Amino acid sequence: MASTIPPIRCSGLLAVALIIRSRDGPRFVFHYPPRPSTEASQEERLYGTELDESESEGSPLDEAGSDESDLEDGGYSLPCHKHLDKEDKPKQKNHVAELNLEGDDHYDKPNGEHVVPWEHLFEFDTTDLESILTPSRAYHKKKFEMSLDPLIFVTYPIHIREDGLWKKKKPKKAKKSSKIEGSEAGAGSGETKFIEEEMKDVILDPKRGDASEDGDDHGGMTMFNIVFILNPRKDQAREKIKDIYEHVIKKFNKALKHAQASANYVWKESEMMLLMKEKAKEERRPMSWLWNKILIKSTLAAAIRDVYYAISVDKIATVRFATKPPLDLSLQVPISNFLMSLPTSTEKAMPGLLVTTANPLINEEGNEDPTHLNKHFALLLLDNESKIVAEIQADDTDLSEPLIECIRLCKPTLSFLQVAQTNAVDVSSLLILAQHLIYWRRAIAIPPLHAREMYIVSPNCDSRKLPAASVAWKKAFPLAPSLPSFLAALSAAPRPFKTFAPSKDHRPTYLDMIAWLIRGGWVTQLRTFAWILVWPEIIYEVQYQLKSEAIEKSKKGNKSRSGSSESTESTDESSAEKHSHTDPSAPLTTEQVAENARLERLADKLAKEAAEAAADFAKMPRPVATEHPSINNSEHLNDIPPYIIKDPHKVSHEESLYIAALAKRFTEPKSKECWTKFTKYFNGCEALEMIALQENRKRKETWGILMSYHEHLLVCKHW
Amino acid sequence: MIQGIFFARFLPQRGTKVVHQSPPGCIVAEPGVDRPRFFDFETMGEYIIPRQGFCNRYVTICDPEDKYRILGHPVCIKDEKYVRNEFMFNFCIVIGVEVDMHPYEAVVRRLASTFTEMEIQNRFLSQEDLSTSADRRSIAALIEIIKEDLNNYNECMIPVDDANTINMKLFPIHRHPPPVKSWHVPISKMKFAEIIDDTWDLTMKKVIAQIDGIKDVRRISHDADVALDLTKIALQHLLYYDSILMLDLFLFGNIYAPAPEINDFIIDKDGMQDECSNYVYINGPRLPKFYLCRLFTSLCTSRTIKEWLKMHLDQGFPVLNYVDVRRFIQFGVIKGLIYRVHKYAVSSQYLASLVTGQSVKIEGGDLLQSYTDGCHCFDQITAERNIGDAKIMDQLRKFPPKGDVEIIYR
Repeated sequence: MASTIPPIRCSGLLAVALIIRSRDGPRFVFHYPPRPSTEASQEERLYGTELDESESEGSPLDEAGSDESDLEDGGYSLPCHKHLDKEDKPKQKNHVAELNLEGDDHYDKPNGEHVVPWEHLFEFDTTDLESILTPSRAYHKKKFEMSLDPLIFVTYPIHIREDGLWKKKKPKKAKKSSKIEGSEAGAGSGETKFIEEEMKDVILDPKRGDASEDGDDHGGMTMFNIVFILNPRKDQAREKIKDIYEHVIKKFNKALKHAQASANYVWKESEMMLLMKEKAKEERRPMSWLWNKILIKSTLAAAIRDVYYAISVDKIATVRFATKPPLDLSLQVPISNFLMSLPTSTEKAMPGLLVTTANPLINEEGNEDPTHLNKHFALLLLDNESKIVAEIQADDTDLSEPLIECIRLCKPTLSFLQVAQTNAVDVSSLLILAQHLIYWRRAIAIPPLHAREMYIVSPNCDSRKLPAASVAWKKAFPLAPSLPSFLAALSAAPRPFKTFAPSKDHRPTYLDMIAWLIRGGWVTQLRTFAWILVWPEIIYEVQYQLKSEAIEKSKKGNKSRSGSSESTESTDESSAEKHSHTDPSAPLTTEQVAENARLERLADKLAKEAAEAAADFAKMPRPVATEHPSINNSEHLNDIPPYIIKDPHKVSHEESLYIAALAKRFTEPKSKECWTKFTKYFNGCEALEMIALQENRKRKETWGILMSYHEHLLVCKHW
Repeated sequence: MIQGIFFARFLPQRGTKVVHQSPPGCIVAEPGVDRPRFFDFETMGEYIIPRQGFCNRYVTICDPEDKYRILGHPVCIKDEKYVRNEFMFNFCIVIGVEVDMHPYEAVVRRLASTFTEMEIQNRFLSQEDLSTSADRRSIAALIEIIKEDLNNYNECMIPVDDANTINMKLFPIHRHPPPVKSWHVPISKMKFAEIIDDTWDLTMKKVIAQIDGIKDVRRISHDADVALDLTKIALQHLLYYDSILMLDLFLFGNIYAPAPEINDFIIDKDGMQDECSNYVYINGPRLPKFYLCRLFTSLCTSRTIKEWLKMHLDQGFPVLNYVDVRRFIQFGVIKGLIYRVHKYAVSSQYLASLVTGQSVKIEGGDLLQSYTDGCHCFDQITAERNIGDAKIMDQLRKFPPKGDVEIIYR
């Protein structure tokens, strides 16, 4: 049995159980796996980007591990009290031992009590669990999170409405009939659609609204819930629970509510399972026999099993409830398909995950937006195209046809916009389809592949997979160099990818190869980022300009001031006027005299300063525009350090002058013309590789223009 | 922060009841107190004093509004002297859902164990109303003090009666540190000399004395005359308390490349450029910070430090005259601005043997063979085999057939 249980990954999911409250009170209906392991989730041993898993030379891990547990409970845990439950403890211990030995079979205790193998889960009796896991109405459609050390139980309980229905009745008949027409077409085939998004709350097809009222026996079921039992690592618990609750637990229970409301599904399945259990108990059947039977007969049990298997290894669960029409449901905890920055040496490793700053979910304003797929990206399928197409065909949903079309049209070398333009399709619907493929882990979005781009071996690639990957590579590209030697070549020195292909005819194959490598997280694009670099010559030029303007101004100012000072009377008059309120004819007070003297001194000083500034300015060498400002070693520039404009979106007055001054330096008309357009990309965050696509220009031409700016850019390359 | 604390009991005639609470009225209504309760206690009662099967363990539950989390440890003491032969109680702490609950686990466990012990000793809980108050503190006062002290001082030391004291402290729970590898280089984050004293572990003191940001773990072990595994344990302790960092072994043949975080340096986030200047410039004239930007951005995946220095020298910038290159690189690595590009050897033959599962000794392959699966960087080989880069390359070249071993930079 144990061998069928998938290895517990970081998900920490131990078991999934269905518990209901019926006429007979709370009932523990079903759980899977039949005998879950209680081991804590496995610790990932790798950190950062390291690959070495060996614990050579006496690992300190074990010791440190026990050491840490000391720290965790602060050294005081409840001492085992012998007198706490004098009789129970040993008995329970017996249980566990016996269960482990032959947990599959029934047996009788010395006192004649019949022990049924499926009436214990972990160290608890299911009769205890069923009472504590049927939360009151206060938890209806709310998160229920309870921990019984070391297990955590999370669920989203669904109660029947006070009016005895499982869903709200549609408000008015008139409205209904009008709706039917419209929804008929969609309802017929659309019932099996991914209820993922449509499941916002109960959206029921009006036709099926009455199903629950046609005399079906509800068995007095007033609530049900699928409980997820977890044992995540403590430091990850909160996050894991949140993810699994939002994406799996809530949706699974909502889907069941839907099925219960429309077809009394949960009760019918539960009743069947409970009857089978009852019968098997009488016949003293082994647990494995019963579980096989239940899984064959009940689609709900099979769904619970499938969800358990998929979610515990972080895969997508696809389940189908055999209601009429059947209800399909796909569940997953979404995973990010790339990393922006490498995990640090104290963070858990995520080897094999693609590392790139090319985030396809960034809107026009540069903010992250999970609903907005960038149209300048390309679609890269994560598996064989024919295999994915076959799978989608097998799903046979409304979306199958368009998805297959989308897969057929999209190429990793073409941006969505280019695909849409060449095939005359609507780009926004193409993006929606692509996003669907990405969400369901069939594809990722990458900057379009191009033979002129550079690709390097990803610092996060999972070399532990090299042996198997080498074999797969050989199969996919029999004539290409071996995987290790190709990676070695790529990693030795970054250069445009086309230089690796022996001839132009090889390029398409080589692009396929790079697609294969990116898919597996082996390589990543080396992208170019730039900031505007202002050399001293330019800075001086701008400063000189500013100074000359200031002197111009002060000259003018002086003139106007001296003009006004000539008519001192008027100022005196005005000041006198102020005093006139008190005494117009009075002679100047001492204060006024002092004030006038002060003003005069100030004016003198200003004039003197202006004269000095003008003299200084006259001494300053006139700025000379040399061909290469970066190597202008003139003496007057020595004290000026080069300057980097951090973000051309928000520039100061001076910075804008620098940019304007630089514009004058470019001789090529195209360079001149594009400078103002391109400057916004020189912020260190936007890859220069994307400019051609974003500006809708030829790649080669764009790079030509960028090269003409080269001297005035600080360039850095990273993924 | 503890929002509330309460003591609940199962009363045979009345069910689960809150006996004492602090602050008043936070769990159940109290005469004369008008304040909103945290949650409806009736709903939560079954998790405060659950069925016997769930007692004597740490139990937590969130309220339906998902605002508060109740941490408790229901205790059930069986004894014939009690009505129904059992006595059930729970000391619970209420915290916000978003608060890290782990430090409080020990507190709740401690409350349960102490009061269980005291109940068994002198029926401290069950006879609360009968005993005279002179020689003991009231439970109401106790929980109030516990809450206040833990919230204000993160610890409490409260004498309860002649025999019992409650001593508790909130400990932050750190993550388990990554394993220490022999080729790592520890660098201290604090001045050990100032905090070390005679009570410190001798081995730890020997190891700490060798931490200089240059020596790798293996050398520290050697120079400190401490066994390698003990050295690693000592270092892992320091890592646990976040008092050291682990870096790579700095050599001029190393390759470093910029990471996207380099942008933080260029835009001078958190005054990083000043911090860097203070750390890396050697005595003498200080260069404008622009040069630091240029030094970082000119690192790349195919340039060793030596080649990088030469490149700058050729461009008329003698880096070594101004900058302590080791400290410069370390600054970049610590801040995550740059990352080390490691060297890995891959033997196709060895990979093939791993696939088939036949770990045949390849003729001519020597001790290094097990390193050629692409998962062991040269630093590791250097540290474990005590040979340098050139010699490793030499030995790898001898692997037959010729050209079998490839070097991947990653």
